[in-house]
Amino acid sequence: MGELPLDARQVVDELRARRQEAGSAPRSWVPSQSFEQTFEGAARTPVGLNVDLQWLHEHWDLSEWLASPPARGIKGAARRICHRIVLAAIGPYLGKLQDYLAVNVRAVAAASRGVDDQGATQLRFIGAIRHDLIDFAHHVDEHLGE
Amino acid sequence: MSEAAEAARQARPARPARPARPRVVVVSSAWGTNSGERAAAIRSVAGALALGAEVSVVSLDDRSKLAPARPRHYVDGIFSVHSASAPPPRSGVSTVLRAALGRQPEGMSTLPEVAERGLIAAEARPSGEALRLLGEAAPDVVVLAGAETLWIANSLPLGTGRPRVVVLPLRGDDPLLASTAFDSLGPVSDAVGAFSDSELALLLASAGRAGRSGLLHRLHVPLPVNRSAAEAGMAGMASFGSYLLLVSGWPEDDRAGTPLPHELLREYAGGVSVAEVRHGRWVVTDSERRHIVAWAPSRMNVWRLMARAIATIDVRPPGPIGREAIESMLFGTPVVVPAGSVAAEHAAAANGGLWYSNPGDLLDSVRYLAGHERERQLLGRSGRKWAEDEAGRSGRFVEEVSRMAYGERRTS
Repeated sequence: MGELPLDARQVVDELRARRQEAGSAPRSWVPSQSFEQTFEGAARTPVGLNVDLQWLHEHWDLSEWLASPPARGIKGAARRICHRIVLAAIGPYLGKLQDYLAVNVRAVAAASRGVDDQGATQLRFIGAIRHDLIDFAHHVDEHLGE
Repeated sequence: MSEAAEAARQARPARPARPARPRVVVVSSAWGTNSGERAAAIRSVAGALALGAEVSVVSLDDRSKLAPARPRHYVDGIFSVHSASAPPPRSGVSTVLRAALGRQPEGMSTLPEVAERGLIAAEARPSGEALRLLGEAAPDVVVLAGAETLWIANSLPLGTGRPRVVVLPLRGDDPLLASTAFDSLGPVSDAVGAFSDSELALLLASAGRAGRSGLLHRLHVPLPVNRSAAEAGMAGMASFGSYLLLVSGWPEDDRAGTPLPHELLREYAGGVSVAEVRHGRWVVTDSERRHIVAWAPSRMNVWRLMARAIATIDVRPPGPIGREAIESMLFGTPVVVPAGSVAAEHAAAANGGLWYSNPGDLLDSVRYLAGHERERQLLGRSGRKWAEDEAGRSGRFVEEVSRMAYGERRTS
């Protein structure tokens, strides 16, 4: 014996009637309570903790490398003389380079703090808007179902 | 040549001269730049006519937006195409006017005629070059495909040299078809084609007022699908597991659907995956992640998705044919489509799917199909049987188109 055909009109009417009886089903797009949960809860490494940025912070200061050699004796005296001669020639350039590195690291650090602040603010906004939308959708549905 | 051979040649009866094939010109807009269902219907009509006629195409193009290398005359398969400059439709005016008219509480039939005419005029693409090309082609039949070409019916010269004018409004369930503005089509056209019962009923309202109901023709456009290849599947398709197919926009489609969060669908459908066709991007969400699949947006790939989906959900504004609904039913996959659309008309006639009036309806329908395997299979089988009967009969379509293009006398 063959199967009885299904009446699509009847199914549509039944689904509609069932929802009208329940009164709590959405009549508009209800934002899912788990919507973008992965986005909100994702483990995000702050830019400030970036390893390259950390390396920059640790190595920007060249003063240790530019200090006078500590060796003693004739060799030490010779090294110090060489050091003075070299610094006399390129000291101003090395000073400028040191300043440039310091300012550069400070600028990158400021930018990374700004990015982290922005990201945190965005997450707070998304969370607040999502909760507001869910509350609003439930509120509308409750009133439409009355 | 010997005398005997010459005598034998002269003794043979003369071969009857082949009757000249009628010349048909199909006027359309932006030919070849869109693969949506409107374009598919127009190509099907032109192809059916080409079986017994010399068919050429006059395409109304906004040539400033076409590639500079696009020639004025070119061959597209069996059709020779003439590209005529035409201004783009004033879609902004049309959208605003339609939105304003749509707010009328008693429907568009109560609107002033001038407003309805204004709406049609806003979509028209008048072109002197197209008229000149039509004059040079001296066709026996002119097929005007799309509302933007209807102005030609009023512009063609009257008299004995006037070709037979066939009109295909291609507006689906647009209530404007029943308006008084369409009454004027009666005297200037010889046949009007409709691709669905709802379109036919709307046209009947205006044609009835003009006393020309006899010029209406119902067409059943065939939509052949490569089912065996699609059912065989392809690499990666099985990895989606059990999934819903969501159609929110075809690449060149000017119809864009309302975005629907995949998470929401998955919650209602019991955690199945969602594969979405979104304007050339293929967005797939499964239990772990969302990713964009880099596939060519070809019709074959849509079919592959349709063949294995739980259901095909169409969230785009309704089209004139309901192409994706028919194709999905040809694969035995139930559809969920907007109520009042041509696609919903097919789903109801076929018992091959469900339809929704609001988002809550859609979600309930999806949950029903995902949770009721037996009912889903029944809908799938029923839809497939109907679609094979309606959309698989090319011979009937050729007869319908011939009858519409040449009149009853030629086809009898």
